[in-house]
Amino acid sequence: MCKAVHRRILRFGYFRLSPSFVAGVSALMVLLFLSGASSAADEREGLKEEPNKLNQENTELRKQLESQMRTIEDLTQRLESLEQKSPVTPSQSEEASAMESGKNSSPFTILNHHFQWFGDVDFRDGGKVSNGNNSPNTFYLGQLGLMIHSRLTENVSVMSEIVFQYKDDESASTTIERLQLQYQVNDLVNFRLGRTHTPFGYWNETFHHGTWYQTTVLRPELFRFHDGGSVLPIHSVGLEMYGFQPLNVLDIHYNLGVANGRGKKYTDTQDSQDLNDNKAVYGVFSLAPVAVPGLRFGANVYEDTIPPDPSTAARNGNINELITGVHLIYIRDNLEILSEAMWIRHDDTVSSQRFKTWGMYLQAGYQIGALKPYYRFDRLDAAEGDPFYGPQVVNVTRNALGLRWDFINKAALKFEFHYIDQNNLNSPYAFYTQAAFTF
Amino acid sequence: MRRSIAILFCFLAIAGNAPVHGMDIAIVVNKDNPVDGLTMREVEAIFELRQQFWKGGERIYVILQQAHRAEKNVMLKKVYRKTDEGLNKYLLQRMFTGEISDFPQIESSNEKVKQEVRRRPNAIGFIDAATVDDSVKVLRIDRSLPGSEKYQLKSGDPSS
Repeated sequence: MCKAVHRRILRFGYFRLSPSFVAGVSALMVLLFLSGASSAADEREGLKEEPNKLNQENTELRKQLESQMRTIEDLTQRLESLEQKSPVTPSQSEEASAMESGKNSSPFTILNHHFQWFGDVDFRDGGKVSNGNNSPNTFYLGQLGLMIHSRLTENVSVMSEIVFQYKDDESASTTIERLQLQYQVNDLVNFRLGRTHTPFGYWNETFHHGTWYQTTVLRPELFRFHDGGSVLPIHSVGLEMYGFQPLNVLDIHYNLGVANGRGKKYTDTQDSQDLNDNKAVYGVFSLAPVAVPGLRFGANVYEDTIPPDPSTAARNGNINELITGVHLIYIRDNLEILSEAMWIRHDDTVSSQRFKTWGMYLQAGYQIGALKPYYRFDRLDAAEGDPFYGPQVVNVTRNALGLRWDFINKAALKFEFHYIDQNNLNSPYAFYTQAAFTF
Repeated sequence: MRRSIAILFCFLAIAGNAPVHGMDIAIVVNKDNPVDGLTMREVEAIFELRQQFWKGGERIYVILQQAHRAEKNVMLKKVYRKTDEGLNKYLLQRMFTGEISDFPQIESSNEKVKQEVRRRPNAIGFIDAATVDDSVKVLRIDRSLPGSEKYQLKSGDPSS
């Protein structure tokens, strides 16, 4: 019995296992194997289905994305539509520029015609002599100017400037200050025909009768308008070529012109009839170096033969006029520095006398938000005894300290204190205020 | 799960190291325009309307964007160096000096600028570089395209 039992016990290492136990364990292992095989088969099946599921999910996501894109496009269109239709509120209106209210136009644009009015109302205390007497302090109207620029074709346009004003004797006047037909060939070659502001460098070509553009109340002594007396021929009637050419190291600006030139008096432009066959010729060249953005400097020349004036004793013959000048301008960011100097030489062909007048100004301003403090030194040194200018043109040295306040986009208040060195003034001090606006 | 965590870590790593850039402004022209690039100086001259003709002789048609748009603000800062009011005054002055005969066209969105540039062969405009598509040509500015380090027409501050 013991032997039989012993045989039934199998040796397995140093363990001794009964055959029944071995059979049970084997059965269990087979079951486990079968179970494992079944599980792997299930997993393989699941992996086979995975791409299909991913494809389905991908398709659904694409549909959702397309739907969202359609919604975004719809919302964008509706937003743009609302932006176009939304009325401009008063505050926006103030902020909006002349060009912002429509395509390719300003509020003052009708078809291709751009209209803009400019005006100023002023107060002055001191600084003026009328008929030999110092003028009392006064409010006064400046000029009301209408500028119209109309594009006729792609390259042809007309620019006009009409000014309404009261003169010192209270008479009203309307004058065509500028009327010019322009033809643009390209950037380098352009033509201007008509009554223009004679280019002498910077100021006269840049600032016109709208005082809103210029920083200061008054124009420099050199460039004062004819009614107030001007030593330079501010306006010219003739033909001018002008252009702009950028080069590698600098930009070139130029103006070349031929015009009727001066009349018998220094205030005459000769709009309807030149009194001699000699035409005035002039040229301006300005350079703007690339290395110093905002800087521009150059020189100008103007030559004319002034006709005699039989009504004045010392004006029996022609006067040969030669004007030369230089300018240096720096305008960058908030800083503005303007400076020009001109030398005017008159050769009287009868007396063989030569008269030399010169003038200059230096102006600097710095914009701080809506405020712009500025200073200008102004000097005019008139030739003594020049028969063309006569006693009206006198020596002036003027220091102006001012503040400009652009309280809204289209209007500014300017306050200036002047210290003036001029022989016929009672007091060297003067105070100017100007409200300058455009509409 | 592990994959999600890995993706999350990657995202955080990228986001943590990525430089924060503002808006790049793309100068765009019609696809038929032969010009491929401009210098920054030329961009200034064109948008200030000092240069009014392409080198081929065609008149340049400048398109701006409305005031207070981020794209316009970058251009005001980098190109015009003026406030919007200063720019308007400058353009008015050029108009009534006789130097320009038309104001630039104003558009209200990047999409509209692209539409106008597509429509006008001589047009030039500016848009957010992120909205560029193949309907317009993006110009190199000083040999750089939007997105590159050296590109100048970008806002330092995303809000600007």
